[in-house]
Amino acid sequence: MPDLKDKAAKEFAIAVQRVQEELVNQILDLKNQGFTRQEILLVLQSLDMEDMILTRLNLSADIDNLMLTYQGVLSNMEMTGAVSNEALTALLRMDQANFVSQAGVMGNTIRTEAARGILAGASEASIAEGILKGSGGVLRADQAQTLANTALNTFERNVTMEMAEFDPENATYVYQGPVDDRTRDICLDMASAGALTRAEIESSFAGSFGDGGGFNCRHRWARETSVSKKLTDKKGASGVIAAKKSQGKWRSPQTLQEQRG
Amino acid sequence: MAKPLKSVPTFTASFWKEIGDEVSDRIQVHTKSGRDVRDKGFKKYSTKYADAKVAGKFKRQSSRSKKPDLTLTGDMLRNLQTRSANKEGAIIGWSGTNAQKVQWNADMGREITTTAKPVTTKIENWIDKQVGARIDRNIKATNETKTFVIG
Repeated sequence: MPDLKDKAAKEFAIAVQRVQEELVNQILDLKNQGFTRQEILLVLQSLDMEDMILTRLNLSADIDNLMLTYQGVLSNMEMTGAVSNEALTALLRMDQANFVSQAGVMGNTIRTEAARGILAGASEASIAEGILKGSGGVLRADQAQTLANTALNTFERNVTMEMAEFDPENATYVYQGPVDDRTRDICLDMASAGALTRAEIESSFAGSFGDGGGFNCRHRWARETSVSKKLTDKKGASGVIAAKKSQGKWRSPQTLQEQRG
Repeated sequence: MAKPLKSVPTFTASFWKEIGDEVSDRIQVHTKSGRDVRDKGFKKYSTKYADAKVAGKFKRQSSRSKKPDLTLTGDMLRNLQTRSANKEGAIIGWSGTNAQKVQWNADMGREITTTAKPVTTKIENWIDKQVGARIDRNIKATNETKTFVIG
């Protein structure tokens, strides 16, 4: 069965990998063209890395393709009341801006790593390997795929967040999703918290209404209903937490927003 | 003096949003129990797929049930939510890839919802009951006898 979201995330990951390889090759090629170390550093310093990646290496086309998948999320929705087309389009544009800005960060990281390697007299192979395998802080293909997949899931959670505008202030929400050996600590923490209001969620788990538990998260906050107990596992989550604490494996988890400070 | 009919409180978007959320959860629970919209058991999974699912071979997997529960990662059923609400009603459903998964399951003979029968009879009765109770409440809220001139 085709899974367009996974396909879009994979294609974006491949595009990021391609752009990184081309950029590294172009930098290292300066040496083959007879530039001295100092000249290479001067060229690198003068480059607009965001423009280089987005325009010259054409990552902007791949970001546009990823955004088309977002449009697929919107296509089946009828916009009424608090959830306006404009609000969701604004969310889409913010995510697009985020990808564009990350392209710039990626370019600058590659430039810095390449410059360090050239200054240290490292071989081309070791510079390229260091950058492309992610040791220099550059996105690996699997990281880029996770990033794109997470962004799409977060976008769908934002839809939930917009719809919650219809709920009264005292409405409560529960953390839906599996509790198993893959569930991360922050998700266990939220699953064990039971029913909370929006204000309580924001106070105890800042940003989680939109982010969930972070990358590749399988959970979301959903309005509490008469059958919520069948879709949540508060007791199970508390049990896992107690077991982890007794084994000294519990590490006071934080939401993505808390981690960012 | 009797108040006009239009003074009886109407439904609100908030009321329908709550109904939408409740129905979405009830559909999730019913589907996970292995039954379709007509309350019949889902068609069995292929042996190859069922074996891989039981063995936990899939990424982000959250169910290892051999009995068809239409749950692998849980993303599809969790994606069922209220998509819009106004004073006339609410729309619930899936979006993007998850909507495609629902359609694919229907094509394979595992129907969570159909145009002719959107929800199970049990859920339909529950909605009727909630709407009836709200109509009664709205009428009582005007707190006096109504006089309707007919004909």
